[in-house]
Amino acid sequence: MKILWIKQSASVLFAVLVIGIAGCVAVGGYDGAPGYYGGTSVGYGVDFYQPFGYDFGGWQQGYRVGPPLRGGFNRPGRAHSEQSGTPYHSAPQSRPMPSIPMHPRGGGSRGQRH
Amino acid sequence: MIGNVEMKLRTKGLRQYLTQLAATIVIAVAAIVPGVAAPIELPPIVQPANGERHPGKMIWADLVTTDLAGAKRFYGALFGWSFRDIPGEERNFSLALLNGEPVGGLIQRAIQPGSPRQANWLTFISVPDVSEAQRIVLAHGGKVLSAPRTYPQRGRQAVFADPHGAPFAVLQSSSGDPIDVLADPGDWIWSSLLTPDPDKDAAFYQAVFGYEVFDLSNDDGLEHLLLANDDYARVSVNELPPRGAKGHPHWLNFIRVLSTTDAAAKVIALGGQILVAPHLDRHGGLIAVAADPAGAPFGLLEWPAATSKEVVK
Repeated sequence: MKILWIKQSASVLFAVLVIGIAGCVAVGGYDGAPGYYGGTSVGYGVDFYQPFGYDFGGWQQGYRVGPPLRGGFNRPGRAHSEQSGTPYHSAPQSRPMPSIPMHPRGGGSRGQRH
Repeated sequence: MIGNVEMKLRTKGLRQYLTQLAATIVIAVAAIVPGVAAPIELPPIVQPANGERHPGKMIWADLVTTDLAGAKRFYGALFGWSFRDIPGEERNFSLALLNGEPVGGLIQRAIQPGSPRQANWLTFISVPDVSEAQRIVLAHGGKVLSAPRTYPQRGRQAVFADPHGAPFAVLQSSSGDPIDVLADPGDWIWSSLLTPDPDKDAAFYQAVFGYEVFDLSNDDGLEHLLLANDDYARVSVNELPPRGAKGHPHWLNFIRVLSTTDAAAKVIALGGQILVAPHLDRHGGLIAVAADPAGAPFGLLEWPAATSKEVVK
């Protein structure tokens, strides 16, 4: 009788263990950025750029968003600088306009200097 | 005598039962645990680890798409990317590689019909400390869209929205950040934020990433700012063109191409769209805005060849 009770208890324990582990599996996995990828955010639509392919789409002529070449862009005399109370701190006027890194990779990997 | 024998037999039977049960448990756990202990192993941003830190630099992007297989075909043909599916209990994540090195992630997600959501690239910007970044984001009017989470090899990451709602992610890379060299063709070269209030957003991102802010006045009457650190331009912040309700603030990431015109033609041949036709930007090269077949926008930016005169810092 006692042995039968031990066997039944062990079987129940085993079943509970398996169900518990399976439950853990169900919530595992990569969601990259749960919440964001899960759909709590709202993306912007491509209709922002309509009409597609004509001139500048939603962008007007002269609308530029890219980086300047190093030394190829003089800093304008800024009407609203630190003195005029922008919420950000402007780089000092003595600082030249920076550009993106221009040095070639030289055969190394993405993370290696050569 | 007979009772003793009977007891021994019963005890032996119980021992056998417990032994078999233990073996079954071990086998069952061994079969299930891999899915629990290692849901997915994201690779390091750089290999070997280099310990570089470039806060404010865009170091990664994840595409959330409704068509993973289609995205692989499109980006593979357009930029020469190859792909590696990441093993895990989910089968919908793939790593994009350029010349064998990871440049981004592709994740499949269904979108409900009629939902305003759409396929999109999520920009990851380097930070030295995700928790500290979160504190600053919240203190300056941003929101947490996805709480910080750690992936052993990748690092710690979180997704936020800036005060105007543009989503962006931060990543504290375990292995370090990519070094500052000119991006290879097919790699990310630039990121731009389009926002209704560049001043306020520049202040926000300056607080989070410690940028220097430079004015990039244009002749279009709109405000454009350049955000830099380590004496390198990192991103631009641009006033949204007047598009009314369609003007959602957003980040747009650019990939370096050798010819924007050729790449734009290829986008169309591969089933994508050109949203903004190739045109000259301030560096003297052509840029364009494209969308993949699922509708995820990205930029094309041609940039002159690297110069070896610049010294790597």
